[in-house]
Amino acid sequence: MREHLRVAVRYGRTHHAASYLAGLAVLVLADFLLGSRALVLPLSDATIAFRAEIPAAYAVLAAATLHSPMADFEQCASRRYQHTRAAHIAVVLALTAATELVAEAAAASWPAGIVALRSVLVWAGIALVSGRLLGMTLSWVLPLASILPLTYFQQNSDGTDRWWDWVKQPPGDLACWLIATVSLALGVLLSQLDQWTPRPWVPRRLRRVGQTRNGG
Amino acid sequence: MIYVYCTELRRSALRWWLPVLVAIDLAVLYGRARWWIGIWPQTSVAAQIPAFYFGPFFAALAAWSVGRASRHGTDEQLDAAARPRWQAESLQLAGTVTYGLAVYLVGIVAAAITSTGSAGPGFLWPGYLCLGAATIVGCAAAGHAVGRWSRSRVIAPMFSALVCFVLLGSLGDSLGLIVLTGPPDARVAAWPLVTRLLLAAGAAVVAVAVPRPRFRPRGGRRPRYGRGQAYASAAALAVVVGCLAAYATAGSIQVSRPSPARYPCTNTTPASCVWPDDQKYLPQMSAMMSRLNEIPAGLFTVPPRYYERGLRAPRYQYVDFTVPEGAMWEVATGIAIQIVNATFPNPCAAATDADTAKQIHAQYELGTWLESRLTGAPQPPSVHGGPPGVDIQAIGKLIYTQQGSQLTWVRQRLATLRNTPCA
Repeated sequence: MREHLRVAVRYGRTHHAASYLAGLAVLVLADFLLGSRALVLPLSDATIAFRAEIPAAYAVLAAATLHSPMADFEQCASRRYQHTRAAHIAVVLALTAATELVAEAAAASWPAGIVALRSVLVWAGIALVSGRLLGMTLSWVLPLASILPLTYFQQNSDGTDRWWDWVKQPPGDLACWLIATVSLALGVLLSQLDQWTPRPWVPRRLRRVGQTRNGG
Repeated sequence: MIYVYCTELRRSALRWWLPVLVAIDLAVLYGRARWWIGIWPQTSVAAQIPAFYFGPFFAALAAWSVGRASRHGTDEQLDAAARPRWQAESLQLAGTVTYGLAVYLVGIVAAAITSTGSAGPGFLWPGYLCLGAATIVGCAAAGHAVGRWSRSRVIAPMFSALVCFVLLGSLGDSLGLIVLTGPPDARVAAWPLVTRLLLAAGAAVVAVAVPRPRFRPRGGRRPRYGRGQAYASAAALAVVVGCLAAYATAGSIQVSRPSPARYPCTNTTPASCVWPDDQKYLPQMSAMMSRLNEIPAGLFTVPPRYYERGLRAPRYQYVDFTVPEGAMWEVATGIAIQIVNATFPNPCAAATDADTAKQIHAQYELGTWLESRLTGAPQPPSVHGGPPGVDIQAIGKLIYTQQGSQLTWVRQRLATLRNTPCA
C-alpha cells in the first residue's frame, strides 16, 4: 500500500499535480469573484455570465495534467502504463467536474452547478481531442476557439438559445447531454489511441508557432 | 534583422493556419449581422469587432510562442548571444503580431469592399480600426510577457487568454478598450485613442524588455542582471505606468460628433432626416412616411419633420429617433412617441391611480398601433417585450383589418386620453 502511494505521488509530481491543484483553487476563486459578472458582447442583447465560460478553463486544466516532462518516454511505455493513464484521466476528470459542481452550487445554485458540470465534460472532451491533434501542451486551442460560437452565434434569430448551446440550455436538456457524451467519448478514445499513434496527428510544421530551425 | 524577421514569419505555423483565422474573422464579420453594410462608421466598428476575439486568442498564442526558448532549452544561449535579448524577443513578438494584424486587415478590406457599393459619403473610419489593432497588439504583448515570466507551458497561455477575455468581455466597453456600435452621431476622440495606442506600445516594450525575475540559484550566487538590463526594465515599467495614467485620465473614447451642415431628408411631407452616413435608409424612411400619410388627417397632430439623433440641438437628444442595428421598428417607435406627444402636448396628471393607468395604457396602445402602421407590419419577433399590458398580437392583427374598424378603435383610445379627469 505504502509503495503504491509513493508511486502515485511520484506519478503526480511528473504530471503537474501541484500546479493542477493551485489552478483549481484559482478557478474556484474566479468562480466566486467573477462568476456572476455579465459579459459585454458585441451585437448582442443576450446576457452571458462568466460562469458559463469558466468551465472551459477547468477542462483545459484537467487535460493539461496529461502532459509530463517525460512525454516522449511515456509514448513507448508498456500496456500497464496505458491503464495507469486511463485511470489518470478518470480520476482527474472526476475530481475537476466534482470541484466545479460544488463550486458552482455554492456560488450560484444546484441547477447552475449541473450545467457547469456538463460544460466541463463537453470541454474536457474537446480539450482531449485538441491535445491529441496538436500535442498535450496545446490542449487549450480548441476549447478557446469554441468560445466564439458559444458567445457570438449562440442565438436563433428570434432570440432563443440554439439547441447546441451547452452553457445556456437547462440542466435536463437531452441534446446537450448527448453532446457531452459524444465529446467525452471521442476525447477519451482518441487519447487512448497512443499505442498505435504515438505522435500528435497534425504534422509538426502546422504546430510550430515561432520556432526556428535551430530550435531557438 | 529583416532577414530574421522574415525567417520568423516563414517558419511560423500560423502561415498555414492563416486561412482558418481569416475564415473566423469573416464569420464574425458576416455571420451574425449585415445591417452595417453601407454605413461607414458602423462598417468600421464591425471590422473592429473580430479584435475582441483575436485579442485573447493571440494573447494565448504569444504566450505559447515565447515558451519555445524554455521548451528547447535555449534560454541561456539566447542570454549569452552576441545580440541583446530584447532584439530576439521583439522580433518574435513582431512575428506573432504581424499575423494577428494580417488577419485583421483582411477583414477590414473585405468589410470595405462590401460597403463601397451602397455607402454614403466618406470611407472607413481609421479611429475604430486603430482601436482594434491596439487591442490585438496589447493582448499579444500581455501574453508574451506572461509567457516569458511563467515557467508553465499550459497555464501561461490559458491564464493570459482568460485575463484578456475577462478584461475585454466584462470591462472592454466601459474601459473603452473596444467599441460595440458606431452610431453616426459619435466619433472617436483623438487623445483617448492615442493613449490606447501608447498603452499597447508600452505593453509591448515591457514584454520585450523585462526578463523573467531570477531568484537566488542553488549555488548561492547572487542573481546577475546586467546593469543596463535593470535600467531597461525599470524604464519600461515606468513607461507603462505613465501610459496607464494617461489612459485613465483621457476620458471616453466616443464623443458626440458635431452635426453636419447639410444632411439628406426624404422628399415627402412629413419628412424624415438622417445623417449623411445613414443615407441608405432613405428609401425605407420614404416608405414609412408614405404609410404615415395613409392615416387619415385630423386624428393626430403630426410633426412635419423627424430627425435622427444628433442632427438637432442636444435638447432633442431623447426625442429624436435612432436606427440601432438598422431596426426600422425602433425608428417607428421614436416617431410614434413624437406623434402621441404632439397630439397631447401637455397632458395633465390624472385624478386617480386608476385613471393614470388607463391613460398610460391608451398611450401605449396608440403607440404600438402607430408603430405597426408605420412599419406596415406587426412587431417583429427580434424585438423582445414591448410596452407592459399591451396585446401586441391583437394590434398586429388589427392593422390588417378594414380602415374603418381601425379608426373606431383609435378614436376610442383618443377619447380615453381626452376625457381623463385631471387632478
